[in-house]
Amino acid sequence: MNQFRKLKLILGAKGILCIVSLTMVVLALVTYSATVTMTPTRQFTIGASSASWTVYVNDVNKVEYLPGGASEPTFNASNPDTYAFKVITDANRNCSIKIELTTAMNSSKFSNFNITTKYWTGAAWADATLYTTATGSTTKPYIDGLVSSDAGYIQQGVSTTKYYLIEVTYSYDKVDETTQVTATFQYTPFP
Amino acid sequence: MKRKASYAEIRLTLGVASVGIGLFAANLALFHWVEQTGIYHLLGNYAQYICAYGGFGAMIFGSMLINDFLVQRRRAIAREDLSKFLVDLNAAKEKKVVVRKTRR
Repeated sequence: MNQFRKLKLILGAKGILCIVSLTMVVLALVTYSATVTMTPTRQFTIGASSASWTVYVNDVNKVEYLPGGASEPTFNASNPDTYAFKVITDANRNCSIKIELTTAMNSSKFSNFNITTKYWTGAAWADATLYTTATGSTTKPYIDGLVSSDAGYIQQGVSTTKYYLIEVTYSYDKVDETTQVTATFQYTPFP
Repeated sequence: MKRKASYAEIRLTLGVASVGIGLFAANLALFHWVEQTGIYHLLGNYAQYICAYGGFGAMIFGSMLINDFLVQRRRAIAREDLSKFLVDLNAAKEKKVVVRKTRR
């Protein structure tokens, strides 16, 4: 109380009112905020983006690889041309990759075009399991490249790094044509 | 040794600061108030109005304090002049008295 009296003596009534006004301004400018820093993390990395296969008329159940051609590529982690794509997951989130063809293969030329995947175990390429959905447990043996929008999913658990390879088993035994054919694979990651 | 600031000087300082801050606050509230997403004011939706009225108040009372200082200073000068005049007048009177006594 004495201090207030002393303050009133020094500043006077106008000074006190002045202080009140300044306090109002300060209170009006007080804000609360929270800042969140987000760090985007990439799980999927593309590897080889093109390959050239030689397909012979009347080939039946022949196998080609992306990348690699007729034989499996020699894996080299530092060379993206030796795998189709890479998936790195951390401890918090797993990842599924949807694999499909952007356009189905022409069934008047191919009698089958079965797409499967392999992954690098550290010593060799091994078959990867294909699932029908991103999170479900139902598996499928292959993705039918002759069926429009047929897709398969690779499911990868947390804290793993895997390199994948695309394997295609085809039969080009319906026509005697040598016109170039393209197949475009589409990968869609689902964290 | 440092001289202690007089009350008048303290009031002048407060007045000048209040006018400046009040001008800034009123200008901010009237012309540059932006509602930002994710930022919450302590006084909620009334913050803008309180800022504006606080600014006006600070300008008004700050100006009053400056005016008080100026009036007080003028008064002090006038008082000083008056006391000087009175001293001179007394001195002149005393001188006259001494002159008369010496003539006699």
